[in-house]
Formats: sequence, structure tokens, C-alpha cells
Amino acid sequence: MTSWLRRLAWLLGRRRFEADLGEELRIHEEMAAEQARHEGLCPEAAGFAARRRVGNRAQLAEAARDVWRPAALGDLSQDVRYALRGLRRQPGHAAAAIITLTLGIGATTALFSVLDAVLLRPLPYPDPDRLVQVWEHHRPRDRRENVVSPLNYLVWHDRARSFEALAIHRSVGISLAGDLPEQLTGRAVSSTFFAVLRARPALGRLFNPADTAVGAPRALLLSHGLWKRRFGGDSGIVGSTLELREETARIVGVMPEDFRPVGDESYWEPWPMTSELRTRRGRGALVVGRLRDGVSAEAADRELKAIATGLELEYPDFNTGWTVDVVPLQHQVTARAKPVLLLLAGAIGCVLLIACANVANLKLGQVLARRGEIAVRAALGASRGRILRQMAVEGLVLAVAGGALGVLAAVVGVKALVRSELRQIPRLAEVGVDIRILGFALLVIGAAGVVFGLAPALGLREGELRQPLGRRGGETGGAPGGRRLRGALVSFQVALSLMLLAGAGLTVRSLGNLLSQDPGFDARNLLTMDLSLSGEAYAEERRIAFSQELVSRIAALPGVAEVGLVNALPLHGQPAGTRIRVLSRPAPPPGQEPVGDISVADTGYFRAMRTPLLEGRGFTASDRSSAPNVVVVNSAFARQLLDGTSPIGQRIQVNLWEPDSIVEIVGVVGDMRRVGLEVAARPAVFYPYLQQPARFLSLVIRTESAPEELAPTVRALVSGLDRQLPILNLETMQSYVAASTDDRRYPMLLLSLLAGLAVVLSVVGLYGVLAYSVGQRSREIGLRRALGATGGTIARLVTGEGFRFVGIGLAVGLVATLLCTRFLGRLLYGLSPTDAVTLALAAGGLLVMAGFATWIPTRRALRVDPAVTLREDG
Amino acid sequence: MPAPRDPLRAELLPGTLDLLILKTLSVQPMHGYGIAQHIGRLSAEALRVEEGSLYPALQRLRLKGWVKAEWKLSPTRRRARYYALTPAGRRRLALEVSAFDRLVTAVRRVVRPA
Repeated sequence: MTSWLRRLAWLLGRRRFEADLGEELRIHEEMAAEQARHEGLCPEAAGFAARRRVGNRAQLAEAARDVWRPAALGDLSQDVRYALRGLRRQPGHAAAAIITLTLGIGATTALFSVLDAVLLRPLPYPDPDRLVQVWEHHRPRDRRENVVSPLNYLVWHDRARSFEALAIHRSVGISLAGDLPEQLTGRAVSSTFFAVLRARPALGRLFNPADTAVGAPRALLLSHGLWKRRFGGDSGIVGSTLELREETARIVGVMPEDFRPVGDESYWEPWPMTSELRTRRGRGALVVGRLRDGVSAEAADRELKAIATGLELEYPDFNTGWTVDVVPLQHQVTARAKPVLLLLAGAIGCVLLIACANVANLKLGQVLARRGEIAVRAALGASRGRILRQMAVEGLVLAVAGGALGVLAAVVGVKALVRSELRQIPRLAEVGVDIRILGFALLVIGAAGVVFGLAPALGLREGELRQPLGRRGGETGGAPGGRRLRGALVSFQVALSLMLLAGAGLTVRSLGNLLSQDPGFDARNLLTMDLSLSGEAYAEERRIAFSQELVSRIAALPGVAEVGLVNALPLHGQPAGTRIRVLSRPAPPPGQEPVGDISVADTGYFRAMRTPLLEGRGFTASDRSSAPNVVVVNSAFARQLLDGTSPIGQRIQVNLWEPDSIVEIVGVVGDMRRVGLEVAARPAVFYPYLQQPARFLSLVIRTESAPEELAPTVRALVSGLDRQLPILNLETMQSYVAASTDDRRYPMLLLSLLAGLAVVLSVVGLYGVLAYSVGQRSREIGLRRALGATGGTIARLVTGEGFRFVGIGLAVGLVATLLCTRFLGRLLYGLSPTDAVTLALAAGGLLVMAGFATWIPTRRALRVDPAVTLREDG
Repeated sequence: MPAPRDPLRAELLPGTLDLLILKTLSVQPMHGYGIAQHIGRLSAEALRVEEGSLYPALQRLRLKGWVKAEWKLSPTRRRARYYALTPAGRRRLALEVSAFDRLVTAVRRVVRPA
């Protein structure tokens, strides 16, 4: 409308308008005075008459201004000023609301952003729903998601029709030479790999057949991360050569930032599919495929299973019992993290609800407490709409302040989460603050504030606004309906808090149970470090010489008690394993052979780990390549493979380094947990290092004092022996053991954080309700005191009210908890999801916190002076 | 503070102030003081326009787009803000006059039945 345009013009030219109006009124007065003089009045009387006639010029100008001012706009700045003044007057209330908003919006947005990125965002490849992962699956042992044998892959590749392309890749490593030697892990990939993922390099080119020609330098594609970190993002690097420890490699390209198919790889190199791979060797590679159009993952699964059945017949000794699973890649990536993330999502939702309840409660309390003020304003002529607007603006001012801090908290929270590098959360690096979710959280919490701030006032009709004026002090107990609603909100918060607290308690106790598991070694005063003796410079003889030199030098350091080495530390995940046959026992049918973990250890390893030697002997310096092949087994081996009879002297056949090699058992050691603290030891076989000098070594150094103090000395010693040798993971065994539980620790920490948040918010809510209630009932309390009620009676009155809300909340929460904790699933260890002790502790903890929340209002109630309240009423 | 009222002076009927202003301005552009004087004079001082109503009313008419304001020199070489009817204001005046006529006729029929 044009009148709006005129209004806008007025707004923009306000200063001018004021000047014009003032001038106009002044002239008007002059004219009136002139006329009065003409009519014969003396100048003074004329001026007076004119002024009287025009009246209050300021008031007149205000009335003229009011015509123009869009009503809602004009009073807005006034409303905001009132609101800010109100906040300053009640700093506690404002702080509670702002803290609630900050935590509520910040925490929920940060965690939901992670969730969204992991669960909902598609993989960063074209047509990701056509991608599948192919696993082998050992039926008799129900071993799913087993890595794949190249032989079987080649057969699938030749025979399967379901795939547009199928690719295989495996883990490889290189050592960068130079002043900063570094060990990198990468993937060797078949030529089809990038076609399957439809990936293009960010710089340079993909591999071509010339890269794998005989005599060609090793071709590498760098990950974006390595390129940035090691080469400073220099695009001139493409085509240049790279010095490795043993050879030179050629950098052919750099992949884009979001290309991280496995997650931790720093580079890719070609893996030529030579005929050599078509032998019955172990399983150790990953296979991905892109489905042909119109072929479902289920159809591909059926086809590969049929092929696998054929393979069982073709290679019975290698493939009996083995089948294939085809899993959509998206599902594969998120399957492991999904239950935990959903659980956390639920917990976040609970905290969001608690935050909403708190904001609602605060607003409700504020509105009820201010009914007197509202009545005065209504009596002075403020319309109902005006008062409602004032309240909405107050809510908005709070929401803006809390929201801004909440956004800040969300940004910081996401940064912290990304930096934490939770191993269990795939593709974490891709997470950013999700604007939609931020908006959602702001909206939900803001709406709670506004709705609950306005609701009580909306319920009042025009006439009722002024009512409280007529009855000073209000009826005894003040608005019981409002108090009941607020109490219900508190009960709701307590129920949710109990759920979260119980959940957190269960995960904390599970982690405690886990850490109290005996891993089979003594982690105290142990220093560990990994070395990779790769390349031609470390041929077998050289590896032995180097490791013996290293071990003897470290052992000679002051403060070192024992030194040992092993090719794979315990708790590291599934170690190399293979079929084992005890020669004295009848051969089991193909596919049913027992499987054991195979590792390599030196003479000092078991002593350094304090893993007991139960029977026979450990390795000695005479167990060298010229001597008979011997092994040490663990007690699980003796139990499971020999039914508890003594393994000493038994001969076993192991298919690992050499097919069907036969070795003799000379000793038995205690069980060490290999996969993780929660997984009992499998049968294990240890080879002496002198007979199987592995390239990858973990040193374990038992120290007499704090192990970390020795770390610099050990580092210097290794550099002294080989300046170019990268040292990996130099850390104490205790931190290594703790890190092995990260997958549980982070969800536990997050859940504990959320539970703490929930409890704090609920306690604030409870306190708010009780404090308000005591304030409202001070007259009633005074009366009771005057009529002879004792302090105890009054205290019971207040705490009784508080604990009624809490009690209802606990009862409801208990039922909800019993229904929900089973979703903790894998996070639980060694206790039931309805563990009574944990539930009791959680409920008890909440009661104690509730006690604190009721204490202050109770004390205030006890200080109510009957004389004062009664006089006030007079 | 409103001036003491002369009981013989008629209260303005609600809504008639706009009509009076528009009618006055249809004669010629005028400043605020002039409008008040004009209405007083024509009604033989029976109608008294309060300044407290006049200026807000003028702003209202401006906002509606019926009058426009302009600083000009008066015949006595005095600077003053002159208000003038716009074409929309002229149309509005016609409407208001006929509405007023109907109202007066109706009131008269009630007060003095023929």
C-alpha cells in the first residue's frame, strides 16, 4: 500500500519531520498571539492566551507522531529496553536461561551435526547406492566380514556378471627417507579400483599400465592430507620423484580431499594382478564393487554365493566352509557406528527436551511471578496485545542472547569432536556445523520459551489482567494450576535425567569392568614403540643383527629391567591367524580346522610383559635358524586343542610362512588378550624371532621408574643406530591399553557429559519451581508459623513438595530406564542393562542433587517471619 | 491541558473533523492556524477546532494521501506550512459530504418527524 511507502518515507526522514512539526506549532502559537494582540490584549497576556490555546506542544507533537508510527515498530525498541532492564534486574533468572540455551543449542547441534554427517550424508562418490563391499564369510566359525583371498577375488572377477566393476585393495607401507623419516600406510589397489569408486585425481593422473611395467619406478597417488602435510600442498610435486628408504618412487597425482575410502591411507599404489596371486594363499584384502544397473545387492549376493559354492568344491582344502557376503557400502561404513550414534542421538534429544522444559519453566515462573507488575501496567492503560508483545520480546531477547552463545558453543563443539578423531565414527573429518540442525535447535528451544511465556498471559482475558491488584498477595499458595504444570515439567526432567544418568552409569561401570580385566600382562612400567625394518637394507640377517644390537643396548640403559620384542602387541585387533593341526590328533574335516593367532617373539618378550611361563621353556638364544623349529603356545591352545593335556613335545602343522611347516611346542605361557580387552584369548602360537625375523617390530621395555621418562633416551638410541628409521607410537603400555578402549570410552564420555548436563538442568528447574513456590506461599507459611507450626513442619512442607515432583519423576524414569538401557548393547560389558546397583546409584545421585535444590528454598521458608507476613497483609 | 469549554459551543460530531478540514482546504491551500480560524469563522465561532485534534488529524490525512504539505511564504511574508488537497483528497471530500448529508437527513428525521 502506498500508505506504507509514506510511512517508510516518514521513518527515513524522521528528523526532518520532527523539525517541521516543531516549527509549525511554534508559528501557530505566534499567529495566535498576534491575533490576540490585534484584539487588544497586551503582549504578555496575548502570549499566555496563545500558549493556553495550543496547549502542551510536546504532547501534541507526540500525538501527531503516533499517527505515523507503525504501532508494532514504534514500541519495539522500548520493549527491548524493558526486556534488558528486566534481565539485569533478575540476573539469576537470565543466567539460568542463557546457560540452558547455550548448552542445549550448542551440545545438541554439535552432536546432531556429527550424526547427520555420518548416518545421513551419502558417500562422497557418484551413485554411492550402487557400491558394495564383498566379504568372505566362514560359516562353521560364523566369522563374517572376513578379509578376502586374492585368488577368490580373481575368480569372482572373472565369473560374476552382477558388477560393472570389481576391485581389490590391501594394506601396504612405505618409509619416507630424509631428515624426517616417516612410515606411511597406503593401499595397493587393482587397476579397477578408481573406476569402481568413479574417483578422479585432484592433480595429475590415475595409474596406467606403464606404471606396473618391469623396471618402472613405484608409482604413487598421494592423499590430499599427506600432500598438504608433507609437501605443503605444492602442485609442482606431480611427476617428481620421491626418495624412499630403499628406492625412489614417482608421484603421479594427488587425490581429492574427500577421497578416503578406507580412512587412514596416505597414498595408493598399483597392485598388478599377476598369475602368482592365483595360488592358495591367505586372506588379507578388501573388495569393493559397483553393481551393474538394475542389479540389486541381494542379486549380486546370490550370484557370488553360488560362485563361492563352486570354489568350495574346486579348492576344498582352502575354501571349505567359506561363503561370500555382499553388503551395500553405505551400510558397511555406518553399520558399526550406527547403534552408538543412535543411542547418543537419543541422549541428545533427551537433553534438548530437558533444556526446553527448563526454558519453559523459567518463563512460566517469571510470568506468574510478574502478574502483579502486569496488573499495574494493565491498570495504567497497556492493552492486552501490548503486554503480550512485551513478553514475547522478552523471550526473544533471551533467545537471541542464548542462541548466539549456543551457536558459538556448537561451532566449538564440532571442532572439538572433529579433533577428538573418535575411531568409531567414520568420515568424522567431513563433519561441519549443520545449519539446518542449528536452526532446528534454535527454533525448538526458542519456541518453548515464547510459548510458555505467552501461554499464561494468553489465558487471561482483558479484565482479568488487573485482578491481582484487587487482591494483594493473591490467594494462598498462588496460582496452583501454574505450580502443578511446573511440577510436571520438573518430574519430566527428572525422569529423562534418570535415564541418561543410568545409561552413563552403566557405560562407566562397563568400562571399569573392562579395564579391570586381566589382559594377561602387566601394563605398569612398560614403554612400547614400533619399528618397521623394511626394504633391502634390512634383509633377514641384518634384521636379526639390528634387533639384537638394539635390545642389548636398551637393556644396558640405567633404569631398564627387561626388554622384549614381538611382531604384534596384544589388544591390537585381530592378529594374523591361520589353520593349525596337531599332528597327534586325527585330522578334522576340511573347513573345521582350529585356528590360532600366530606371532613372533624374542627371548625377553614374556619376561618383559610378565606373562607367566606355565610349562616348558621360553625361547633362548640357541633357537636360531640352524636349530630345530620350535614354538611356544598359550594356555588357551592347550585347553582347546589338546583338551588340557600337556602340549610340551607335541608337533603341530602351521600354514603361514611356509605351507604345512611342522614345528615342536617347547613351552606354554599365560593367555594374553589379542583382539581387545572384551575378547577372550584364542589359541596362540609364538615363533622365536631368530627363526622368523619379522620386519615389523614392537619393543616392550620394562622400566624401574616412570616409563615415559625413558622415552627420549630410547628415541635417541634408535636414531643413533639408524638415523633414517622411523619410530612409531612411542608410548607407555598403560596409555596404549587405555587407547584400546577408545571405542567405548568416547561414547561413555559423551553420555556422561550429557547426563551431567541433564542433571544440572533438572536441578536448576527444580530449584526454580521451589523457590517460586516458597515466595508465593510466604503468607501461608507465616500464618502456619503464627498458628504454632514448628520449623520441622515447614521444612517438610517445602521439601515434601520438591520430593513429590522428584519422586514422580524417578518412578516414571525408572520404568523408562528399564525399557531403554538394553539399547546400550555393545557398550555394556560384564553387567546387565538393568543392573540394580547402577540404577540405585543413579536414583540416589539424583535424590542428593534434588536435596541440594530443595535446601535453599527450605531455608528461606524457615526464615519467614510470621509478624512480617501478617503485617504485610493488614 | 484543554481549554475550558463554552457549553454553547457544539462538540464536533465524531468523524466530522476530517470532513471540515477537507472542505476548508478545497477552497484554497491553508496553514494549520488558518484552517482553525476558517472553521471557527464560517461556523460563527460555534465550532471550535482544538489544536490537539487538528494537527494529528492533518497528519492522518497526509498519511492517507488526501492532503499534502508544503512550506510557503504567506501573503504577510511569513513562512508557514501550507496544506493542500490532493486529487484523492478531493474524491474523498465528495464521499464524506454525501455521507454527512445522509447522516444529517437521518438525524433530522428522527429529531423532527414530519
